[in-house]
Amino acid sequence: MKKYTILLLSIIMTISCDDILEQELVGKRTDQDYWTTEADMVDALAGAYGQWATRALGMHDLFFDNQGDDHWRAGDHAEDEEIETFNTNPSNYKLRDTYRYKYEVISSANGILINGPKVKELGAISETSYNSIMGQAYFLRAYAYYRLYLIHGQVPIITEENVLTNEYNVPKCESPEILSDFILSDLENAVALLPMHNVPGSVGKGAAWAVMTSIYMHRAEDYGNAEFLNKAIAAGQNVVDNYPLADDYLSLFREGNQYLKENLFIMMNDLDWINQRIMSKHRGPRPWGMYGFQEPLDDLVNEFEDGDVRKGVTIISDGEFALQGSLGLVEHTPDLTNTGHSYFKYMEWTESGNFDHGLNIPFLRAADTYLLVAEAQIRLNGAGAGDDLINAVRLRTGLGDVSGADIDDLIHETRVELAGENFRYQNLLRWHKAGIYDLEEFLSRPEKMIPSDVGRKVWSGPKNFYQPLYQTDIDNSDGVLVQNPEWIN
Amino acid sequence: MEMKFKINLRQKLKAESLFLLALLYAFGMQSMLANKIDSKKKFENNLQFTVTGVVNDDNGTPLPGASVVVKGTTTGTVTDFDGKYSIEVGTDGILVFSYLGYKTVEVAVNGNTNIDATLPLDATQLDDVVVVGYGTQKKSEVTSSISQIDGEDFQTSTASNAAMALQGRASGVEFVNSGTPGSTPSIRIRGVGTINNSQPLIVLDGVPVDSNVLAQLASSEIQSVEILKDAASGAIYGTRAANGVVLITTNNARFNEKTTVRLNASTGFNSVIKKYPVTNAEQLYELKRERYTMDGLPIDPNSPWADEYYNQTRTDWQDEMFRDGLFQDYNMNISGGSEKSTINANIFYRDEEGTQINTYLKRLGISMRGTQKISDRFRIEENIRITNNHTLLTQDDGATGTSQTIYSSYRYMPAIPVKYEDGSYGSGQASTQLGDMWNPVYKAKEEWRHRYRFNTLVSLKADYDITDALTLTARASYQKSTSKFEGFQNITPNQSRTINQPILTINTDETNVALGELFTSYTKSSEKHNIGAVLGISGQLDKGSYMNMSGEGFASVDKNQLVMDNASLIRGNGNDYLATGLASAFVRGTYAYSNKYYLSAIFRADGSSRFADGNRWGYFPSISGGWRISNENFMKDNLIISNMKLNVGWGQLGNQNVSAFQYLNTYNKDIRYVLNDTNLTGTRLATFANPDITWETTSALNILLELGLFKNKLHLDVAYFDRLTSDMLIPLPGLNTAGLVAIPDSNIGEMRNSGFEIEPSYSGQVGDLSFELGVNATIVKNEVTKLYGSSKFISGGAQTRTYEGEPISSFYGWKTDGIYQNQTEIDNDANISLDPRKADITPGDVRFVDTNGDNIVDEQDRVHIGDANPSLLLGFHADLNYKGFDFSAVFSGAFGHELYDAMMMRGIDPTQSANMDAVAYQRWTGEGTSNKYPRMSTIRANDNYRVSELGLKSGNYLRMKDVVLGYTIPKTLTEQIGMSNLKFYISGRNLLTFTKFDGVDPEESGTSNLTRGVIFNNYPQSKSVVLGANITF
Repeated sequence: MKKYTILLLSIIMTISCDDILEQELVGKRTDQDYWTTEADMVDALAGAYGQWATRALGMHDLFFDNQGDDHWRAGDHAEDEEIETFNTNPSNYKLRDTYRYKYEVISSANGILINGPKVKELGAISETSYNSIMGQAYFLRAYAYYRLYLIHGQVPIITEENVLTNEYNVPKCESPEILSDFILSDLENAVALLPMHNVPGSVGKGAAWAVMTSIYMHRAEDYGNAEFLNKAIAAGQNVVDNYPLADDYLSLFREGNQYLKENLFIMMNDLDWINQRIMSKHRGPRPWGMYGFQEPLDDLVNEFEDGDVRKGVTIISDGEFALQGSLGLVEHTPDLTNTGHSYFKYMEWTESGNFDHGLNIPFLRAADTYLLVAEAQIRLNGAGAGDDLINAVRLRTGLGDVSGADIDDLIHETRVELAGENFRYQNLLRWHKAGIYDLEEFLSRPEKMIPSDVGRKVWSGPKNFYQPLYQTDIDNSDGVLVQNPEWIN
Repeated sequence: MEMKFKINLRQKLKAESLFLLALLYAFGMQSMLANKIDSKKKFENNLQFTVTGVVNDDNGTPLPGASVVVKGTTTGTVTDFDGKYSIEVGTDGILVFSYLGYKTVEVAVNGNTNIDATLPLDATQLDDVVVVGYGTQKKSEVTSSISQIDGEDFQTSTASNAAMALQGRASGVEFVNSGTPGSTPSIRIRGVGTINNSQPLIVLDGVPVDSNVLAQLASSEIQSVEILKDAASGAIYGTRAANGVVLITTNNARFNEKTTVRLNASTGFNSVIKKYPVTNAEQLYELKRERYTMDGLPIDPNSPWADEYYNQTRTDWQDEMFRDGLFQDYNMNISGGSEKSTINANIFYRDEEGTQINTYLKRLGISMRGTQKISDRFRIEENIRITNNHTLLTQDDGATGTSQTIYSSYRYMPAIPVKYEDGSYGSGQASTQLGDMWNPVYKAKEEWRHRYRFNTLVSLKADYDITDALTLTARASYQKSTSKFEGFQNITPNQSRTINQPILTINTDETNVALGELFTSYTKSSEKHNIGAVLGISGQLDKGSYMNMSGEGFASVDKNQLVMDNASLIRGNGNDYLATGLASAFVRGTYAYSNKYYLSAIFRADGSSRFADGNRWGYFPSISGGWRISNENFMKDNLIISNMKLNVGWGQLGNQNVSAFQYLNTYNKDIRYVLNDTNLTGTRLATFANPDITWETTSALNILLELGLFKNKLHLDVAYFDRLTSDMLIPLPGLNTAGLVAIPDSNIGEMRNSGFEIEPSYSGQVGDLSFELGVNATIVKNEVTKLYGSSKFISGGAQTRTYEGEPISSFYGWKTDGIYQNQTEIDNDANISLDPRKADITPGDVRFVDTNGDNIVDEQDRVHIGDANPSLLLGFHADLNYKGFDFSAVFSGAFGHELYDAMMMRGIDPTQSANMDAVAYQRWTGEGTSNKYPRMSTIRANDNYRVSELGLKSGNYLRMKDVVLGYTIPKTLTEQIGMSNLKFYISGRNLLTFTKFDGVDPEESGTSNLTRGVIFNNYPQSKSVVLGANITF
């Protein structure tokens, strides 16, 4: 009997061990079976785009714009107070997500750039689709680094090579210029691969040109820097030539805006499918269904010329009314905000009177590039050199043409055209470097902040050109990642 | 595998029929079961006549239910209530009398018609058996550290989870409890053995189960709990034993046992241990205003702090949110056995209101155990459990953070009323300064979160005695656990965050575990030699899946209409859980010589599908030996030392309790996007691969000295242990340059837990008073001794970090040195003489210490400031019996560790939009006013609330966990009303706590090992008082 037992034991063992230990990976894919079809590439691309709607640009990135003079933070976050008053502690967790999610986009883009060629080799994708997807991957990676470039100046550059060698603990690049060169080369690749106009929700060449233009303008630090201003004009002119502005300013921010050629890069959203609230819900009064962050200051509201259509689209103030679906017209009342104003650009209601947090949000508009080219022209060739482009932007505003517009007129136009779209503080920094403003003085003016910030919102360069790097990343890098100048925890 | 599933099918059928049987039992139809004695006459050629008699114990007390069998036959009976029996027997027959816990006695009939038997108690405790995994062992022969807790000890505990009732009863075992109804405590044995998951393996009647099963047991079901604390004992469970093994044995019936019915009913109240001290509206108003005035700023005219309305207390939110929760607990046990079969059934029901309003736990369970003798050599045992836990909560178990109702119960603005005069709920919507919180009463009353967990366990075991010494055992078990979460949020227009649409969420999941085992046991005893051996194999498969759905837009929010069909928009997702398999072979040999020398060796090989081919198999050996010195001749005549045994053991254990498939990278498909007007679900790289991932190994040395003094009245166990965990599995510190891609666990380091356990106990008798007193003390030292390769530290949450040479999850931050009292102190302070922020620091700010001497306070100055690992765990229990009265008390305590009160650090920061801690009112307001709590300010230049010694508190406490006073009505009275036993008791839990900790509960802790000792305001534990009765028929 004993030997039968042992026999039985050994039989069962040999049979069952393999059965038990060879478990299949169910419900997830791995490198062994991913990257074989066009659908795999499209899904990966959708994965890279989808992050922008969450936190990749998200509200945390927008909060750095609180440091400008368009709005104040509002809301209830002490961390935002640190940021707005230029006292950001490097341990402030608001530094984390905006950084991390951009690297998530970079990770997704790197995945496509590494593995796309495998799909092509298999003959599983057409040349056109392949080029478009690869071009978008280059663009998305470039755009993520572009935001990091503006916010932190220098960050670690993670490329395909790092992914293949699994090396993510690298020093930040040696200068902001090196980072911007890297971005520009990605954008060149994108322009070469992308179609002029792409399907809704995708970028075409125009988006890449727009970011190039912006980078050249940031590189043109001196007021009359001919090299970079000319490069900006060259890149930007491609946008001007190929991407007409929308006729109706409001339409840029409402349903259907993904079809407008002016919207070069847009964060897709909708109530039923994507249902993303992080970006779309944070600006606006709580009783109206939003989270109550970022209230426009009088300083911005007063910037609008009388009769400017953009005022009503951009801002709703006390005593004005919003049509809230079945609730009808609802008055913006003083108890809703501290400043008496809310951004209206991103507000829409469903028929049933609910706040519609499903609007697509444009990240890059051709109008921005038009104005950057105009600025470069003025800085190179003097007042009046940007008139045509400024007037192209003003065409839909109900305002008359300008003539002989100088840099101040350009700055005025830029401020009102792009109000609340996350450009103001970065533009102020550029204009400071170009000697147009002295931010130390300019940003300390009482009208540039809410009364309780007066005296404690103090800008100082060069520290405040950039945000600090997140302390945990510095800690976890074990000395590889070094903090930005003058920031201490 | 084929065979196993067939067995499972059979078991399922069995399960159904037994379930029916249990119901019949419940309706009092015990007669349905064959409990009558088979009295077939087998010895025809032997004159049969009737023998009667009484079976008594040493003291002459009759033993009801004792077994009387004619030797060499299957003829037998059991004694009645009075210990009387009557049996047909041949004139030359021999009667065998037996009863559990007593020595078996044989009496030759020799023609006597009346035979009384006296059964002596089965010697000393030394001969008790201990469950050791795949069998039992005589306690006297055990050579390792096993704590045994008798089920009797917590029959009357009021703890909702049976595991909680173990606290304080065994050395080396530590508990982290949550007060959430239906929650399971974290158990740590001999220190935190690993960072990833230090929960011990739970084995219920031989079947490894998920630790949530602990929440589904009735205390009354438990017959004994054995805790395998060292490698010498645990190695039989190899790869899963690194954190210890808790073996739970439920009650079972014996052959030839008279049917008994036991009822236990209790009812009582739960209430929160302590209120959390917060400011009232007037104090808060003052503090919030003061932060402007201290900064020289005007009070923000649009803020609530310029509005007198907020200067009046309207609500004590804790009074509104907490209550005395009523609970009721009933269980019934029916147990009996015939000569050939036994059946034991438990039916239990618990209805427990949480201490928070609108929360409860309802638990209904039934468990059945049965044994059949198919032949003399073949036995089958079934074990079936079906339980349903239903909880209604306002937040999830273990959930912490500012969006949870516990947080808002403490922190919601006291000036806001529960409801306004118009009947609508009070709200903080008017200003963001009132906090991103919801009125907790609204949340508790207008929303709901139901969770149903339905567990079934079916286990079938067959024993075949190949020879008298060799038994072959096969076990197959199947567990299925399904859970359903149902949550509802109504349209909420007036809270701080609004909800447009009614939202119904239904999440379901299921897990399946199949286990098949085959093992042989061999025992052979002779006068001097005792040999035991177990050899076997085991295979286990875990599979499961989940599905989450949420529906929006219901035309009617009538509860009867809240189904997914009525939603206008449905979203959902679901997937399989990663399947895992474990294949094992094990062998154990034990040898005892002359009751003096003992040897035990175990070897287990485990293969786990969690790791890549080549890294799957782990081998876990152990060896231990014992020497009973007191049985040596030179000790024989020692009058003081009645027992003395020295045990030494060493072994290796594994831990594989990490996510499966970490050797592969994985893509998740969960990012939604719209391209070209087409809805897409995008993919992303979700995890990196670690192709080299493998077992974590713990090598453990155990030295145990057992002493029995004064005829074993005084016991003293002293153990030394040294556990070294190597290849510790934990993710490397994450770098955000990798985006959201999860870092896989790596085998990165070594950790050591060493210490002593000292366990004296004394039992004695003075007149009618018998008593047992016991203390258990555990001294543990935890240290991460080595980190491999490029790892420099283990990063925890914001508050903890672990470097080589330090205890795990040390608090890591800045040292503090009081508060700057005046400008001169700032001017002269060397800590900040070169600090660029010096100009922004003002009197009333915290003085942080420049530890590296560069005269700047920065991130370089962070150091290890404390740790949450207690250096001493203390338990104490006292059991007293006096005539019909019994009293017992259990204390538990922990000493020598710190807690980091992260919630207080938020609560003294006036820039946080929430009500403040009461201690905030003791803030610095001018020179000499406070040297601890900083001034009110909106300026964060000095960052007073960074992680520092300011948040550290001593965690020392001693708590009376359980206290019970019972009275048993004299048998002479109860028997007249047909009961064999009737006992009333009053019991209490967590009634007394001695601590200097000023938060709610010093036992609270972050639930993960990396946030250990960080106070996040979890659901607080409750204290309870209960009245109950035990009745036996």
